[in-house]
Amino acid sequence: MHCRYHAAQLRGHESEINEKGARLVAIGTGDRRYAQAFIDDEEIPFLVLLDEDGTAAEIAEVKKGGWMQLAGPATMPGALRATAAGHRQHRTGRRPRQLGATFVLGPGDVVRYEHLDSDVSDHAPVEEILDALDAG
Amino acid sequence: MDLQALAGLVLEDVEGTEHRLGDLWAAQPVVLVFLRHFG
Repeated sequence: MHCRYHAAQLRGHESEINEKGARLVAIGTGDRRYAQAFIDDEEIPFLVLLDEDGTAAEIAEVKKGGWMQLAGPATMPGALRATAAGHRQHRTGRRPRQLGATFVLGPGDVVRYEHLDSDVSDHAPVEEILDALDAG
Repeated sequence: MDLQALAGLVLEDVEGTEHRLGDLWAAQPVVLVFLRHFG
């Protein structure tokens, strides 16, 4: 549920991101069917790419979690927030241990910002993403 | 992170269209979000 909650948060800020001259793109673990369901259910307007074998996540050094990062006590507040916002957990796909991450890249091969999620409830604060765009 | 390696990677979208990742941020900034899963 957390990743859908985060995606919905970003969707709400997409116009602001676009106004700063940037584009929002998501990469997900899962096959085409689950990606399409995610896009339809969450009304995702931005580009969603499939990383079925996890190559992109490995190159980006996205973290993997143990049970404490996936379902430990620290994840409960985020789970409650997501549930309160109307999101629920769906199937976790073939790599359930993979966590999320957010990068601000470019123009060109420049990393402006990175946030590697430390557990399933940890996501890059939208304010930090927008600040990174302003700093470029 | 090896950004050059990531830039050279090609991924498909839900329609099967291929996208070279580096092209996404060649000319403009991109907010690239790795979702844990689509569920």
